[in-house]
Amino acid sequence: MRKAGLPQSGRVLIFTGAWLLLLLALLASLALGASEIPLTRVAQLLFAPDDSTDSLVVHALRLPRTLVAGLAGAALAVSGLLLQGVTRNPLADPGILGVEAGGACAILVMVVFFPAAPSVLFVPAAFLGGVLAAAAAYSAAHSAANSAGLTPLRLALAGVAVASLLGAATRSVQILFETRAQGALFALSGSVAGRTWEQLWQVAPWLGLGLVLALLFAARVNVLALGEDIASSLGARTARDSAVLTALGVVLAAGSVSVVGPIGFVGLLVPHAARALVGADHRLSLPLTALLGAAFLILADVAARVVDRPAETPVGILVAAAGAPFFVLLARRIGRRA
Amino acid sequence: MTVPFSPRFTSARALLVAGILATLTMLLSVLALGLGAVATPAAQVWAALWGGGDSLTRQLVLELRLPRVGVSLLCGAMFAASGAVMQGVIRNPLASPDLIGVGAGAGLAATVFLLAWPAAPPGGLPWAALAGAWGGFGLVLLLSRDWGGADGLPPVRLALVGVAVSAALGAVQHLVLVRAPDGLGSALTFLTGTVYGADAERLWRVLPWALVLLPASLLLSRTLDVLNLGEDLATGLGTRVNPARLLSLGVGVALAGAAVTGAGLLGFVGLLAPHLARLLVGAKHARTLPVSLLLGALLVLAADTLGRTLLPPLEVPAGLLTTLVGAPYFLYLLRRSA
Amino acid sequence: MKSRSPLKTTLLTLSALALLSSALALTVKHGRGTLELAAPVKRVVELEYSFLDTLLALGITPVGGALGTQGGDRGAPPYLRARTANIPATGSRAQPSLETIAALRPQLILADAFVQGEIYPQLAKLAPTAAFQSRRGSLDDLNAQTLAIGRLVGREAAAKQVLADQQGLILKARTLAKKNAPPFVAAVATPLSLTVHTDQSFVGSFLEGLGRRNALSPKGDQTQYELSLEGLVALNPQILVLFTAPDETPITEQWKESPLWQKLSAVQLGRVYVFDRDNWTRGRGPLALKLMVAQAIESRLLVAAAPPAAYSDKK
Repeated sequence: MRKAGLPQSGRVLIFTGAWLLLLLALLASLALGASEIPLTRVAQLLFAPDDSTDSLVVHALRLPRTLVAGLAGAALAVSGLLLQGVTRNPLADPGILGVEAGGACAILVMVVFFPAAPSVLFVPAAFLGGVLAAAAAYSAAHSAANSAGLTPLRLALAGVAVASLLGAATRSVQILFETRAQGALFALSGSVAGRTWEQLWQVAPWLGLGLVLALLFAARVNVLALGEDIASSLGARTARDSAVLTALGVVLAAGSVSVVGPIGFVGLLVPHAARALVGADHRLSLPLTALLGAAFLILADVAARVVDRPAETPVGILVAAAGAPFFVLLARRIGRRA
Repeated sequence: MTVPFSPRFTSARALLVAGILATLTMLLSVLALGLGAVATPAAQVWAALWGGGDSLTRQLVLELRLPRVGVSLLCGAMFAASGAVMQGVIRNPLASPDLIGVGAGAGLAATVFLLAWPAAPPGGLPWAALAGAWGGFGLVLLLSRDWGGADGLPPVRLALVGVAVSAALGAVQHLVLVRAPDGLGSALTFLTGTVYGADAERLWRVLPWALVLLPASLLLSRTLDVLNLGEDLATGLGTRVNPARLLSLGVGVALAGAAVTGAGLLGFVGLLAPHLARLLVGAKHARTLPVSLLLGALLVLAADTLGRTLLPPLEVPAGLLTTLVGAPYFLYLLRRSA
Repeated sequence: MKSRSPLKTTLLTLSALALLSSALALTVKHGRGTLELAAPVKRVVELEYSFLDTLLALGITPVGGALGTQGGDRGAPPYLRARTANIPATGSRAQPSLETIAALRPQLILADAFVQGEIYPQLAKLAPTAAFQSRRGSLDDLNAQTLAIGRLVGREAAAKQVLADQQGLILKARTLAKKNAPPFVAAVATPLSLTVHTDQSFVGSFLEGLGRRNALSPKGDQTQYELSLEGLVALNPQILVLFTAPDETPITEQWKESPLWQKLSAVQLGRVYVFDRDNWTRGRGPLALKLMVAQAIESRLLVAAAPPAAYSDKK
């Protein structure tokens, strides 16, 4: 256990800071973009929309986009935290599990084979692809021989294999259907550009419900994180609990992938940061993870918008560039312990 | 973790298996010379091999198919040897050249090379890939070393850092690709792992590497057996573990790097072949290695022949077929292994 | 007077012969070096649609081509499809089948200098190969290629005529173009993205050649880049040119439901022009250019007037 008891005042300070960060991210996201809108005008337009272009930009474009980014960021981060807690595996991350590769591959298949299909169908397709990929990786890593076989290495290797398999499938489609796949390349890299209110409403129930359930179950994650033997001796129904929480984690990740595409490493980066701040108690680290995850992805999206105005840079790439070195660092540390 | 030294794996059995595999490889090679997008009657192929036949058949068989068969065999054998050596060193049956930065390094280097120097002379791409393969491996080695620690190169960390570095390099490659103009994707088909376009020059380029490195890997078999016993036992037997690991890894990466220049990254061959070899002749490297070489050669030749004849005149890269077969097998192995 | 030495005479004759033969031989510079042919050729294999278009415009039917209709590649652009039925396919553009090409016994292979750059040596072994910058070429590059291909296939006069006709057509179109019309934004719309083409891209520069102004220039070395609806709103073009495919639902269909789309000046003024993206961006030869000039006129894009139904974004 790392920092077991943080003083009450320290916790209050950290959570106030996280809320402020989120607020700041929200305001920046509404004000910055292809055109800049002053903060005072944003505040005014937010509560009193009018017919001006600025008002429409805020309400029709930036608000849904920001909310999607925040929701997806929170969901991905919480998903990572849940999976890490349940598997007691610091490398459990929806990206590493192959959820994102699965969703992306499903989208590509849709674009190539059903070019006439409405883009609304991308959501369930990515969802299905993500769930299947995660199930494959998780069940492969979960050795049939012994129940405690879910080591970081096994999980990482299973994820790599699933990602290679999906990568090969994706490349096959791209090579055999060369030109049609061009348009899908952008979607394969994760972005929240142009997300609409409809898309937000499509995933909001899933993600919102998932986040609330995750908060309610935070105490159970604590029990599971102690290890199955201790958890059982404490009277927890470990098998059922861990299955429910894992499913919750995968649903959160797949739901976000289906609307923002593959955005890796949020589920790895944010939970580790949150645990470093408030310790391993999930009743504290889980809400903090959600707050930080939301703020992180919103800020990353703002950066993606302004770095090359008015062109859009896929936010997933920025996050990957920031997160991958952290992954290397983590791998180094875990490798020493093992 | 590996197949035990069981009495049913005798030298006689190994010889028999090797004989059968060699015969199969010969037969498939002859078949591959006769198959392709353009139909060539068996009699004509036979005549062409002995200097007769019409000029078209001679061109098809001697200039297009023969070098291709040769490169398939050599690169398959080299990937297999590389995988066998790496699995021996890392003492994990799931290690393979794909997982220690070789593939991702080659991919990134080739992408950057094409973008930075679009007018590069043909044939430069494989060398960029070779440099990238070594660069990726060097990075993994550098990051997994425990500076100042007694235990210089812990195998688990090597594998984990390999996965992480591959992810990081992959993210950077993706960043470059998404921003790249049309056509780069097509130019990179090479990386999928394919023997497409192999000519006599490429054969001569790969041959010296193979002639030096394949025997070298066979000479390593005793060292690998000792390393496989674990660190303490190996030290007890008078082996200096870390130098032995480095030397073996160096040979493994050189094999993979040379194979990459011949055929791109043929996914999972380095994993599949040694495993099948162990199933057939047991875990002793003096028997596993030669059988792996034959199996790797056979595997790649079969994949390429199938790829050429599946949808003529369209070419399905051999690397896609090996990955589509190899990745599920990897997951299966992972699930079964304790 | 002393007679010339026989040796000197022989040397002179030889060098004269050499000069003559080098004048007769065809030399064409391309992306991978210089190609020399003893005489013009007729059996040609092409590996990119712009070469197919050029050959057909010069009255030559290639003996084979990377038509890639197998496996669902979008295949030849619609305007060429009727004329490719009898051309044997030699695999995809990314990996043309060397065996099929060899079996066709071509006298010349036309390849893309970038996409097929790595296998140029192998192609050159099968037949003399010219590798031109087609995919990344500008309009001027492609015109120069038309001339070079004309010389290689012995239709230099026809090539010059084609280029002169094309130039005449463009000049005529230019006179129709409305002076001082507001600049346009041209973009390819696929189901997932909108990619704007700047004044350095092929279509972008072509429309500028017709006397209209492109609102965008390249960002760094990117001649095309992705734009979101917000970016489009920030640009707020008065003229919007979209390239879509009839078998796809472009992302703009989704954007049309947003009130911001209605706020775009081009939409309010009714100046949104729609063209077939395969014809406009993937042919890139003399036939395609003729079609493009005709459509630019017919759509009334040149005079910046409201487009007729066939080129309008209203279904």
